[in-house]
Amino acid sequence: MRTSGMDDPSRVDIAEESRLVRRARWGDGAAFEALYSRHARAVHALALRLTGDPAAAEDVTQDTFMQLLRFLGRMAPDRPLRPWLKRVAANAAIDRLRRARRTVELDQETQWSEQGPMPGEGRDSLGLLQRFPPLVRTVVWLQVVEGWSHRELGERFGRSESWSKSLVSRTLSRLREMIEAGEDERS
Amino acid sequence: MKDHENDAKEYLASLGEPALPERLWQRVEGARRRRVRGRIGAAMAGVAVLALGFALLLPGGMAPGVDDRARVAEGPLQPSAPIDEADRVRTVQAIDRALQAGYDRNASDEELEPLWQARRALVHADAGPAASKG
Repeated sequence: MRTSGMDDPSRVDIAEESRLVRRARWGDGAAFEALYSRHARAVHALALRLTGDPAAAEDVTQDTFMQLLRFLGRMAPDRPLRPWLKRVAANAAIDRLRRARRTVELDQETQWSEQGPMPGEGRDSLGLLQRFPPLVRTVVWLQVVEGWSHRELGERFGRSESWSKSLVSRTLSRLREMIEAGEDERS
Repeated sequence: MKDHENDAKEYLASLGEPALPERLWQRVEGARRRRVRGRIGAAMAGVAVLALGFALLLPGGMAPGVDDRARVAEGPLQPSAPIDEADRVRTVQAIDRALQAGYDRNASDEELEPLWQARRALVHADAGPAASKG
């Protein structure tokens, strides 16, 4: 299975994608595979960055494409799929995080408990982020890279907008310190 | 925008995208196939029940072994109660979709025969007054 290299959403041909969605809706396996090829790498990358766990990232990616199958009939034909898929993947990753958090107090999770590097594949894609707790990593990545607002992040985690702002600001500040100290361990 | 935030954001943007595990497609495709099989099974069962309901409205019902072509040769069938044409067409279309899905997944003739029987019975049945619309 190879990805098509169409990771830039602006390069995705909406009309062609719409045709693929229609075909996939009627059970065309090749069309579904083409949709997977277009978007799986981006979805998996996001899932890995949010979960920090290769196995969990695969689960989230699979769940996201199963959600796509369920919602194919309701997809607007003129809207690109990528943002919807990434939103589904992010929500799935957040749900996992919330389930895991049941035994951990939120304030404990946002403290800088500097962690060791993540084992196995994908560690380079997280860089210094892997040193932060999962909750911190998730909030920062969704706000800074994916463009989620502080308000929706606060709501999603049952906290305030200022909680998200403060968390992101402190994390970016600490990240810069680490960069300046030459702590980036990417090979 | 503070400088330290810009530096950190540039750093995050520079992180490479991880490779997509090759095995992941096999997992996703396996899950898709299981889902499709489940849906086809449920749809075929639903269509069969629906078609049976219509077939029971026909004179003589849908007794096993009765050749529909022989019945047609005897003359137009008169349903014991008028059948709504729109419902009949929708049911035939639903059966067609179930048949197509069945052939797509290489279903056996034995599996599909009840659907063909129901389809034949519906196609050969006269509809109510609306049928004359074509």
